[in-house]
Amino acid sequence: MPRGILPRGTAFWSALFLLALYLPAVTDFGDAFLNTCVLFGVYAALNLMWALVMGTAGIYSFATLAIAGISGYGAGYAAIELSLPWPAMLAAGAIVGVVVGLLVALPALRLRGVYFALLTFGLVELARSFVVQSKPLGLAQGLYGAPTFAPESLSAVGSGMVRYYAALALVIVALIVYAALDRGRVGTLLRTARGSEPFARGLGIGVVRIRLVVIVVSSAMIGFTGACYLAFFGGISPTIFSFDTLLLLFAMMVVGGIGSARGVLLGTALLLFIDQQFLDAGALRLIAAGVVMLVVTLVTSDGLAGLPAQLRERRAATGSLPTQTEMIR
Amino acid sequence: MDVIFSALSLAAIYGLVAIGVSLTWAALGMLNLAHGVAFAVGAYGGWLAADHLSDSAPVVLAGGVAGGALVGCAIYLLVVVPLYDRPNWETRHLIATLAISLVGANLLLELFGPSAKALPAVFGEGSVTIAGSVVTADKLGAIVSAAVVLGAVAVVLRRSRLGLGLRVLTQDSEGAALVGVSRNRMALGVLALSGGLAGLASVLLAQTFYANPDVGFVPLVKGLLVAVLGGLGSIPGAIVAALVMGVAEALTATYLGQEYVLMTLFVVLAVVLLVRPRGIAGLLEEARA
Repeated sequence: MPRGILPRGTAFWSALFLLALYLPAVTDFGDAFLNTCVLFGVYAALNLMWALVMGTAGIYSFATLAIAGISGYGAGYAAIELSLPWPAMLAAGAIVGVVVGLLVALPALRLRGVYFALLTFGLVELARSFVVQSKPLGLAQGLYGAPTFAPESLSAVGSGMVRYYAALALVIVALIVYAALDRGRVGTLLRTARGSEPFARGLGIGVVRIRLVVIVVSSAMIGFTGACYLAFFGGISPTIFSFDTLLLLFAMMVVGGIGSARGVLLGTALLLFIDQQFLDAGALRLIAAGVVMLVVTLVTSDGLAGLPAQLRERRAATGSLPTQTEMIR
Repeated sequence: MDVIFSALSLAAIYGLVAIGVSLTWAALGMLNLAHGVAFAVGAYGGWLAADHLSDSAPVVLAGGVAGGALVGCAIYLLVVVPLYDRPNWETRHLIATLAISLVGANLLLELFGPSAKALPAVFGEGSVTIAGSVVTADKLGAIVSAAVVLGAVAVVLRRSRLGLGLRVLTQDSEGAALVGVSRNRMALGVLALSGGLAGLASVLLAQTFYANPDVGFVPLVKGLLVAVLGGLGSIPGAIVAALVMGVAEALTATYLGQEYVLMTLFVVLAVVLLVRPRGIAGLLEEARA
């Protein structure tokens, strides 16, 4: 392919898209594999939005799953009570996401780094204790009976296909939102502000405003994804607010590399595979996940996707001309 | 009166855990999310010591401290040595310590099984009556020994060369190297000390939390809350915050119910942080930003 005519990465993304499109035609889908694919779609969408807030904007937010869970519960409850169809539920999810996102954004403007991180951990715990004790939201069992993508009249194979392609569409929408913010003007401004806030202010960048934009837009998408989770599985349970789930998603995002979309997808796929493959192994599964996390963190500076660049840099550093001080010696 | 004593005993334990979190932050700019593992291994250390050596108080306490300190050294070797001063230290140390906490808890589960181990009552089974309320010897012992240890640590850090070095390191790590303060030796010392304090806390608390693989999680979360409330890097702040959180928890548990405790603590933290973004003492001292 001639370089320079098409945007960088076109070949990679087209190949990935075609593979995903024809995957159902070439493999024999079991129920378990289909569920893994759908879960991948949901996790990948959440992680992409999280990477936008944490990576591009450099805001230490752990509120992703809290926003997804609160939106999922809110939209699901409304859909069940008012017997809404699924498109209305997804819209409701996005709206709740925006509202929760605004609530999260308020302290983000005042607090820095770890202080904000801990506060968002608190939001997760707050949501969990509320849901577990609320009867209308199904206590510890969770909320079930939400409208789903696949109509009940459809055969098992047909509804499987509907869910698969809905998950694919979800990932694509998330990728578009990610690219629009990360590659666009807002992304550039956010990276400048992440590097040095005083410098960004000196340039006249409205730091508060762009941070608000990234939190609100990503929260809308996270809320939408939370409602999609219900449309895929018909329900939601308090496990979405558990520390283990949060840890798993965080590990996915970081192992692959927080700085790029392909890193996030790679990490999500890798850890989801470990998670599902060793589901019966109990403690060993988590030990394996932890060891992978530790090794990748110790070896790479920016996740697996950042490895080629890291190696290039190292080669350049060892093979380069001597620096000025070395020549003087 | 009962509420006051349970508030004090909670404050004692949280203080021991939170000071470790705070010191590590001051010395290294590192939020140690594997601190809960030190707590858990401390509990098992105490149990092993009681099982194999003797169940006298000094031996059990030493077992707990040794277990915790060992975890501190492991964190030094696995996280600080390979990662400090490398690109993205801020995110990578969080992930590495999270990974250690995941592996540690599950390794304990593999090694010792899920059942809880009972530790001997270090201070005996008796109880005393103070101002009309009955206090078990265990609770009183925990309060007194934690207060003594915390006081000793605070004095040592204010008076000794170690404490002086630590303060230099907090303010300017390059300057510290210039005046001959070894950051690596400091880091090892601080992590071993924090781990040891967490191990001590877990043995002191063993009559409430039995030793089990997940025992470190709740103390880690509460320790983090207290350290942040106090202002990371500040020892007086951590002690005041431990008292505040102890009182908040004891009141909530007595009048609202145990399930609301964590929620209340987060609400207290949120309110304080919104008024003073660096916690109780963060603004008073030259703490790390």
